[in-house]
Amino acid sequence: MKQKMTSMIKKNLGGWLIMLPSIFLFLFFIWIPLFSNVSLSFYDTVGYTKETFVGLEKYEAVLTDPLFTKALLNTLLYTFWSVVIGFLVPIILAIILSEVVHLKGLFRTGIYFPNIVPGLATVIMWTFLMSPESGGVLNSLLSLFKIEPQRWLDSPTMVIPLIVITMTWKGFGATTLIYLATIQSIDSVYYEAARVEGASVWQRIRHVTIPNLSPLIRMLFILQIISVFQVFYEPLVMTSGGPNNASISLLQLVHRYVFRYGDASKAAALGVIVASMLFILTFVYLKLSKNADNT
Amino acid sequence: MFKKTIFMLISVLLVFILVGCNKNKKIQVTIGMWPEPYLTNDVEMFNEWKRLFETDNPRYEIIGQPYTYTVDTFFPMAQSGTQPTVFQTWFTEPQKLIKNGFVKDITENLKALNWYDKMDPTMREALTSNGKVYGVPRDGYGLGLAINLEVFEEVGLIDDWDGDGILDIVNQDGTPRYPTTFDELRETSEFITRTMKDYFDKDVAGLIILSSNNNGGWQFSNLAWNFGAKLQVKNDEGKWVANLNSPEAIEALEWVKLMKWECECLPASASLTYADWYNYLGTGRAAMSFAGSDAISMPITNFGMDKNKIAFVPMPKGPNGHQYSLFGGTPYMFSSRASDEQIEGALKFLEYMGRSPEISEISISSMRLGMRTADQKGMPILPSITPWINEDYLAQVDTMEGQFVNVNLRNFNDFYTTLNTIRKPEEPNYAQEMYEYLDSSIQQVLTNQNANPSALLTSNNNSFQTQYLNNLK
Amino acid sequence: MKQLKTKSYGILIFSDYKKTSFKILYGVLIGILILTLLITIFPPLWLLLSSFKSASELYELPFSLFPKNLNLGKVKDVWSSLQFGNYYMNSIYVILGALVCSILFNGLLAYAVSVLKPKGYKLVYNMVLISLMIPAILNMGPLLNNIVNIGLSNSYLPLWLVYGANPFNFIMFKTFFDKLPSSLFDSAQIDGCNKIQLFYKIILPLSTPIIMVIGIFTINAAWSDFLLPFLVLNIDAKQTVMVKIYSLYSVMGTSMNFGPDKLLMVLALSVIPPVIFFLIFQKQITSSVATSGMKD
Repeated sequence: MKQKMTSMIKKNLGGWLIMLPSIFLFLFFIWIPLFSNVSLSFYDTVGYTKETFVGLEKYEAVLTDPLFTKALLNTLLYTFWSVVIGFLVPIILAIILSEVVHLKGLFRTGIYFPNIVPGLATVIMWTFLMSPESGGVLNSLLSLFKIEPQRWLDSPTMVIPLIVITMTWKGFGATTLIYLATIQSIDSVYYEAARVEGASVWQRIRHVTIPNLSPLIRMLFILQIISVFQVFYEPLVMTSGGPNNASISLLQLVHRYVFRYGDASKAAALGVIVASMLFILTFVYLKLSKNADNT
Repeated sequence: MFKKTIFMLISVLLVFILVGCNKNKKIQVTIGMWPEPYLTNDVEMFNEWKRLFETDNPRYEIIGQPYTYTVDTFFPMAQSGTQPTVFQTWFTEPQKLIKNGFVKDITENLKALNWYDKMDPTMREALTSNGKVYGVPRDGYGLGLAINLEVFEEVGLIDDWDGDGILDIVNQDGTPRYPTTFDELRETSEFITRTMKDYFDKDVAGLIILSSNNNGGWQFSNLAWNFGAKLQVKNDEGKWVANLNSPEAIEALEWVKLMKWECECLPASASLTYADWYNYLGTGRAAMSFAGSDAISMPITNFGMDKNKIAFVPMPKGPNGHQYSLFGGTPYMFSSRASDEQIEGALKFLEYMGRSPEISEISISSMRLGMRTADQKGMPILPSITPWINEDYLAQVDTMEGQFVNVNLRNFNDFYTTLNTIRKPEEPNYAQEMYEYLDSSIQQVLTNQNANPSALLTSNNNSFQTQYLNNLK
Repeated sequence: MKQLKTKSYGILIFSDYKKTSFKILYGVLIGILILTLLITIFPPLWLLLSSFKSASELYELPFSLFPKNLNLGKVKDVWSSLQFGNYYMNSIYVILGALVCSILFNGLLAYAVSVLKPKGYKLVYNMVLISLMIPAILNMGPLLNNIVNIGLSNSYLPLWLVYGANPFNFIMFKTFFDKLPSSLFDSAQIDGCNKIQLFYKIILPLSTPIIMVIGIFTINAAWSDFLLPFLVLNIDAKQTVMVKIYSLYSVMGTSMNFGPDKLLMVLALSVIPPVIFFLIFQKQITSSVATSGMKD
């Protein structure tokens, strides 16, 4: 018995020792801050010192803040637009790219190129391009086609789709290449069979390409939703949430509470709310990906 | 072998630490208003001040740590405990910083130095909480109207009647050629934008109205006052109540809307920050802008505008004759983590910068150096809005400005002569937060032709009341 | 057309292209890709060219892509007056530490979870998986507070170590290790290798491809990151390129002598190193993105 114990310890100790430093880092950078958020959210704070226990008061303050409703709606809008704008583009481009034989390397490199432009540079650059001035870059291009200057990020209805376009510009290359790899791994036997049966191009795509892609599509779809739900620095830098808070996101509101108004516990309460939403989304994702693995 | 090396390394390290401790006994004072390295003229000037200070006060070491205050960056820095011993901020900020315990009470130091009573009482008030003073004012500003004289001349509004090579914004008899009421301001703006479009095919905004980063609300509160509004009032029970949606404030916002959609004389962009006014004015893309008097040199230093091509005139009068100039300024504040000795050093250093009420050989030479450096950079030397009121100080400033003035004061005088009678400090509670709510109202009016100013201000008024004013203890 | 002759895979093969309608379709496809290429290349190209423009030239009508003159003096001026070399060195310093931490800590954890599987490893695995979904900004306040309390503000250490707790990298390592044949480990253990020896004698040499991938991602991420670094690095002399740009951008309204034209120049300076890096490693980068199944 004793021998069994020691052998068990011996067998596991090494593994645990190897994991220990990394676990410590995960705790320090992710889990401890998360739990301190939870506990802070029930207190009145000065800086990060808890003063008095206030129960759910901070949650009430968040939920009754009209900005919270606005930010929540906006975040849903970001998600919606990212699906409309950013979801199909990589799939279509990947299919096209897999078919083309000329200049393939150039196209692949070019499509991935925006991914390596640093995020901060990307958003500032696009803010410049979308200047509402008649001398702004995109407005000047439009004037070549005799189109009136647009207000771009100043327009409350266009601001979210435009920020989503910027995010899509930055990220679509990687997604395209991921789809491309899967498309290229599809056995040409399937296409051969489809051709023999006289399937049209559309039918070949629908009955061969798409089914082969669908587990990946499902996974990336949910990953995209989760990641867009976390949109933060793009509106912070591009519009600081304007005009009239038309583009403020949930995480930006967390940032505003804590770093502009120094209200750590209100930020913590909002943080807990956002984290719960993300946990639910993640849970759905894990369920779905398990199902996808099983099929 | 390995162990030996480690042992040796550690002992060497220990020796270093011990020696280092003995050597570095100086009291370090970090200076947040130290200029960014690329402002070479200013860095030179600060280095000279540092040299003089350290020679006279060998116990101290001055360390430059450039920091520009912004609402988004101060909290993280203060939280990380690395705020400089002394730094600059704005008069809207002290109460918030005091409440969060980031700044130090320096009342005793001020009394010991005999500075307390020399301080401008309005400015001291802004730095006071519960009878304690937490800062030293650097200077004040009043809001006014900055004018690009070249644009005014191009459309034929002004000329150089005295032939001194500088365009004139007032007539020979001193009567203004600039707009003095909101109606005139509207007409002038419209005229400029139209004329520039029709005759020169240029897009020039008649007026800049800021709308972002709380700057919109900041300037709008002045507009609203001039229309007769009071934005925060005390009710019968002595509680502060938000009053952003009074008929007068709504009228002011209606005026902004009119400027945008009927007059069509504002820039296309509806998210303009403080950097934008001098960008537009300095590059001739706007004729007029509301601005603080402490920023008149911005279009000159940033966009190479000629200092003789700018004029600065009072805020226009409202429909019922109200006229105010929002009066704010820049205080120096001190880190709550600083020791008493550091605070003493920092206050002493202010004298070496020529920012104290003391008139000494050293402070006079520092003021002179400051003005000379400004002159070298091509900045206009204008009357300053002084933070101290002791006679000897005021007399000294007067003589200096007489010596160094380098612009035609006629284009600025109306502003400075009226300021003392019309200046009005910013609203007392949560000013920046209130500005943010006003910002969003303005943004909405500027982006939506059908926006309803009354409804916007009412909903923002309610949010401001429940989110902030209700928290006042 | 010649190249198409060899196309015997995919949705359309050469025999399809005998039809004119498919030839046109192919032309359209190429057209779409060229358009995409223009969209991806134009903004950075505009940035690069406009960075040479002066402040007033930026808003001049009619719009011109090219600056009036290629003012190389402006590069020198901005570079030396802002002392940009200093920020570059700091960025490189941050990247090197991040690289080590990212590979070492995530690699070791993945090795333990994937190969050694000590009792309770599933708990650790789930903990890491869940942390994948916690946005960094949410934790920023308390995290910064802890970093300060242990005396690490203005230190690079937290900026290095944070890359050691990266769930994405962990998962990539784990997926890779999972595919290694287990017979390899068994034989090694018989040879008397202990656990650490097994890692660096057997696993590491086999892992060059995944280390490359993670290295490339880490370099790009560490160069681009500005949120945590901005909060931790308050002293100018310690700041990285991106932190400096962010702080210049945020004080543009209040600080002197830094206008939009200079901003474009420093942005261009921040984009050039990753572009060069990309051009050198483009093959490895594009193929690794595809196989890793990961973004960013």
